[in-house]
Order: sequence, then C-alpha cells, then structure tokens
Amino acid sequence: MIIILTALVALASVGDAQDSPLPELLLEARTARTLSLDPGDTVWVASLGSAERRFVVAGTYRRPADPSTVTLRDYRAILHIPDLQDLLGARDRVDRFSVSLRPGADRNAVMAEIDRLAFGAEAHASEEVADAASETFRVVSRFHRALAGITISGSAVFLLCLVVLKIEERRLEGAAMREIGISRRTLFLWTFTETLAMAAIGTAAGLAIGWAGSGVINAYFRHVYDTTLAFARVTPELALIVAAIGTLTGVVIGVFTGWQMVRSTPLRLREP
Amino acid sequence: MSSALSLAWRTLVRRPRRLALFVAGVMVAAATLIDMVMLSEGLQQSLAGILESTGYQVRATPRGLLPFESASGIPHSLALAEAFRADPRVEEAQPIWGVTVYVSSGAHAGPDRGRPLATFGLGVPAGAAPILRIREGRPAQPGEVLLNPALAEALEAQTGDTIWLGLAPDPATGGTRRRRVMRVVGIAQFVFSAEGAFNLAAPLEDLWSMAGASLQPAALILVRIAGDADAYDVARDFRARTMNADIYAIPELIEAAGDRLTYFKQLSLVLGTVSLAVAFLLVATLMTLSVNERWSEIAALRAIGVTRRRMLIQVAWSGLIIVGAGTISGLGVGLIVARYLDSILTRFPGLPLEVSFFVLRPGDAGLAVALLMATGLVGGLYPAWRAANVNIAGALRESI
Repeated sequence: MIIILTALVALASVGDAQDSPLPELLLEARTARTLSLDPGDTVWVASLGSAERRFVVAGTYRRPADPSTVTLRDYRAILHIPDLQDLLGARDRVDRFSVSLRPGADRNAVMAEIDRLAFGAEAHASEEVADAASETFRVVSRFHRALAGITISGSAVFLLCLVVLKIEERRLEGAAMREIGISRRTLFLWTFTETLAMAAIGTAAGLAIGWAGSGVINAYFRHVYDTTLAFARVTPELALIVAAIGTLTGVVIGVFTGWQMVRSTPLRLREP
Repeated sequence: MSSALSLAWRTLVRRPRRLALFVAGVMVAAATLIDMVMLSEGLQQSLAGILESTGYQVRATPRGLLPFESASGIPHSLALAEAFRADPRVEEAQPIWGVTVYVSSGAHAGPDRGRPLATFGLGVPAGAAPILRIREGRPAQPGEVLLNPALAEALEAQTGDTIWLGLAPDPATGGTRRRRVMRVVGIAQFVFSAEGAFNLAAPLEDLWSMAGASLQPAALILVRIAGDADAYDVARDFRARTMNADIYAIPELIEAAGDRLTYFKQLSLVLGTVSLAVAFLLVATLMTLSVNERWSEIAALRAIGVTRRRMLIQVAWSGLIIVGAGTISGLGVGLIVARYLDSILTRFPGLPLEVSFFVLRPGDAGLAVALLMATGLVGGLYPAWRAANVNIAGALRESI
C-alpha cells in the first residue's frame, strides 16, 4: 500500500521516541483502520528506492476538516522530519516553511527578503495561500448561484401560473364585486395580498425543507467522506436572502396579477 | 383518439397566453431535469472519452492511488510493462511517469526572467507520445523534450531551441541541480493538462536518471489490447498477479474515480427529482384548476353524449400537450443553460482542458423526455378522472 508521508514539525512525543529503540509515526485513522493497526504496533515503511525501516505506531489522528482535501482518498501517516528525510534520502530538505512574524514586522519586506535570499523558495502571504486554495469553492459557489437563479425563475413562473389561473377562475366573482360597488383598490389589495401570502407560505415551507435537507445532506456526506465538515448550512443571512427573494417575487407577481384583475371593466370580466 | 387530441388542442389554444405560461413553467422544470441528467454522468463520460481517445484500454496505477495523484509510482515499471507485452492479448504497454522539474531557457523575458519555472515533467518512452497531442515536431528521443504551448510561450522557446532542465533549484548557482541541456523537438498538449499549466514531455530514462530513480517508477502504465481481446479479462488477470499496482479497464478506472464525483451525482439526483416533482405539481395543479374552470363546459359536453372515456383522454391529452411542448422547448433551453453551467464548472483549478461536466447522450435525453412525459401523464390523471366523473346535472344547475 502506498501511503503519503508527511513530516511532523512539532516533536510532540520526542521523549517517548528517545526511550524507544524505534522511531515513531502517527497514522491517519483511515490508514490504521485499513491496515488493522493500533498504537504500539510495529510497521515497515519504505519510500521508492529506499530500504524498509521499522516504526512504532505512536497513535492515530483524524485528518483536519479541510474542504480542499476532503475528497482525497489517499492513505496518510505523519513522521518526524529527520525520519522522513532519512527515508527519502533528502537531507535538510522540506516542502514548505510556515513563518510567524513578530508583531509590527513588515510582512511585505520579509516576503521580498525571502524571495531575494532563499533561491528556490517563494514567499506567499497566508491570505494568498488561502485564496488559491479557495478557488475550487468559489467555482462551486458560482455554480450554486447559477442553480439558484434557475430555481428562482422556475418558482416565479410556477407562482405566476397559479395566480393567473386563480384570477381567471375569479373573473365572474371580480365582475360581481365591481358591480356591487367594491372599489378597484380593494380588489387589487385582495389579489395582491393573496399572491403575497402564497409566496410567503411557499418561502417559509421552502426554508423549512431546506433546513431539514441540509441536515440530511450533512449527515450523508459526513458519512461518505468521514469528516466533520458542514456541507450545507442554512444561516440567518441566507434565510433572510431567501425570504427577501420570495417576498420580492410575490410582490412583483402580486402587482401584475392585481393590475390584471382591476384593469378590465366588469363587462369585459364577464366575457367568456 | 385523434378527435380527443384535436379537442384538447383547440381547448388549450383558446387562451394562448395562458398556454405559453404553462409551457414556460414545464420548460424550466424540463431544462433543469435535462441538465441534471447530463451532469449526473457527464464528467465520467467526458473523462472516459478522453481516456478512450488515447487508444489504450487498460491502465496500471500505483496501488491505492489514481494516476499522478502523488509523487509515488509503480516500481520496476519496465518489468511490468514487459510482462504486459508478453501477454498475447496485449498489443502495446507504455509506462508514464510524472515529476516536478525546473526549466529555464535564459531567453524568456517575463517577470521571472532567469528563474527556473516549476513544470510538470512527463516521462514517456523515447520516441513515443502516448497521452500527448503533438501540434508540431515529433516525439522526443533521449536528450530531447516536447513543451506544451503555455510553457513554450513562457520560455519563449521554439522547436530547435535548447533549454535547461533540472530537478531542483540550486541556491548556489541560481540555476538548477542535476540539470542537463535538452533540445526542444516540438510542441505538444498533454491530454490531462489544465489551462495555463506548464508541462513538458521527456524520455523516461532521462527523467529517471536526473531524479536518481533507480527503481524506474511509473505513475501509470498504458496498455493497448490486441484485436478482440477483452480489456476486463486482461485487467482482472494482471490484477491478480501484480502486487504494486492496481489494474483497471477504463470503465473500472472511471468508477474508481467516481468516489470523488459523489457530490455531482447526488446534486443531480436531488435537483433532478425536485424538477420532476415540480413538473408533476405544475401539471396536476394547472390541469385541476383548468378542469375546475371548464366544469360547466365539461358537464355540457357530457350531457350531449361525449363519453367518460373520451373526456378522460381529452384532459390527459391536454396535460401531455403542455408537457410535450415544455419538454421540447426545455431541451433547447437546457442545452443552452448546460453550456453556461459548464463554463462555470470547467474553471475548477487543475481540471484537464478537454473535460466537460455536461454531456448529452441520446439515451439520457430519451430517459429525461420519457420521465417528463410519464410525469405529465400521471399529473394529469386526477383532473382527467374528475372530468370524466363530473356530476352532469349538478354542474349544469350550478352554472345557471
């Protein structure tokens, strides 16, 4: 089995390692499960072209809940840096440094200095790294927004269909009300309020279904990817946006249909 | 039947604006369903298309990993490739390796002038160009490289130029460690290359020698099956006797990669189901309201001798006409929306240029149309049943 080995900078269990004749490593829970290994077991580790070395499993760990690696199904283990360098035959070599600056230090100046002095290395601000790693999620976010647009247009047409039918069903009723003296304003408000109420009830039901659905989605994908990440969330801001869009749709269609109801004369409303 | 259809049609077109609105509602649901059907298997189909286009039906990958997923490789790949070739069912086997290399030409004038460019180096057998589409020049022999267009542009290099190829930047010299001069013999696109990514292809032996990779690793071995031999059989037989590699026929590899695509499958399933539910609700609600509106007309038709069966068929036809028109227009709109959504999703970083998320297969389109028509039929059943069972006397009395 091929396992991706990562060096552990923090020598958390260096004391134990010194007491033990064998170096230690940490196995990701999935790796340990697949290999049926427990803390205290001995494993043989080799890289391509290197001799096998024995390690003691010091413990297991769970991969951090990182959206950018959640779909990766590789096997992982963490070794101390010198052990990994020995194994790879790559002495004094690392993939990256994390640099913490003292308060007040000029970050740009430090980055420029690193770029100038450390040939082969490139300094990036944490935000740049996070930004680059977030591109996937920005794409997903744009995709979701596009889907939301399609859903909203579908809902609006659905609502319009319902209201138009309702109005046509009430043409005679509307004509009679106009003839007995009920004002256009009252008729308009009646239609408008009913449309708005339908939109509001639909929005509330949609929010409730969305909230319940997010629970199902999270439970499912947490199980699939063995992670604690949240895949769907109905936040108060999102609920507000949904409510606003639902209400706005209701208002626009309500005005349109209300106007349809009052623009005609009672005689026209009675026409088949 | 034809008179029921004709009557249904004439009833619907009496109110053309309303009909247009109904069709628009179904159209949105149909377009969404078609898009979701395209998305559900689109990426797998697209990947399968790219894999099949290379002409190799079986792939060996490092055990537990997909090709190029990590720096790990299948050790002793030449021996495994030889074992494949020794099988009479195999026509050709080509190991491929991938490693990050640093390239400089000294000619490029960009902001990184003089700095070696980190590039994904593809090791291919000398004189061969599997999974490469050569735009100009020829396959690389020892000491030669093919550059992809993005790298050639960044290096300002052309066929015939020489470049420096190294395995790691060297702080002492400002160049690269273990470097060697290579001659550019052409421009080629790696079929799995992402937009703007730097790639080059060099003979395996050159890269192994630079990297000191004495175990001759490969990120994958491509296997071309001879004649009518079955790729699944070859994959299964080699899987049983190979320790360091997983062996897949293309559909098996796509299935193995499918775990990563669960999100799109689930999303398309959820949204596809919602679209069908919306189409059902739309048809059922609209037809019910429409039947209510025509209640006295239906009663009159029944009173003058129109049979229940004919009434039922007529209302069912109305539902099918709306769904049919919505589905046909939804197909067109769905294809346009799919192109738009695809343009968003194909911006995923690192995604091969040729990949598409939305692939329309005739079978899928047929399935979507059949599902929509069935939904329309089921949605129209209740209002059709009500129309067929109208209380003639009661409805006529109420209408007076």
